[in-house]
Amino acid sequence: MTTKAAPESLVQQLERASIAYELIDHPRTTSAAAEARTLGLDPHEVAKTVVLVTPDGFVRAVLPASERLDLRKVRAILDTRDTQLATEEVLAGAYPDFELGAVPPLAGAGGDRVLVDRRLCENEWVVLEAGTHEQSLRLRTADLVELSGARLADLSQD
Amino acid sequence: MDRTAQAPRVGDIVVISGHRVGEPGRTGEILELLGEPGHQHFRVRWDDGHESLFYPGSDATVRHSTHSRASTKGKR
Repeated sequence: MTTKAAPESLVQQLERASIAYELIDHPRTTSAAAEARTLGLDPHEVAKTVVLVTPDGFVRAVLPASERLDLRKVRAILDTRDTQLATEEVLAGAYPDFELGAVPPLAGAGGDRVLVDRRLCENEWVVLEAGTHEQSLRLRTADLVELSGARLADLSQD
Repeated sequence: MDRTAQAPRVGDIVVISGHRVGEPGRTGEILELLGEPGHQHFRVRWDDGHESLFYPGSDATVRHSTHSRASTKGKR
């Protein structure tokens, strides 16, 4: 079986940053929770990225696989009530480099704002989908925040 | 990556230091050398048993093992 590898745009961004990172092959998974199980990790060590549509463009919200996104909190953070989850059709058009449902917080369409849930910063390293459902990216949480220009916030449901 | 006098070899140990006080570093054995010089990366088996392609950053060092081999073929 040939693994569907991380897209070149993602690898190039990581290479330019000269940071340490890993690409981990795994059987195909379609959720961050399943990815965590497959890799033998706790769900709080694995992040999922949720793409949101706002009047000012896309926002990628990154939170632990163990948590659920609180849209009410996100709307307050972004100071707009007009914030919705991106549909599959929108995702397919906006992120052709990535498999549907595997958008990472890095690379792809430029200009997206990124929000990272503070809970992820409790771990030095974080694992997330590398733009494909068959390979994960592990990097330092601090590098993820810096590279993505993310804003730290509380994004999870209480 | 810390450029040591010797080039990395299969069997060498990759060490990534912890960034925060009390945080343990991570170590793994190089199973395969990949890429060109300057863009070299490794297939590594980490101390927790998992394997991955590892692209070293500035905080990674390679500890040469007396059992290391120059071969780029993976040790299986």
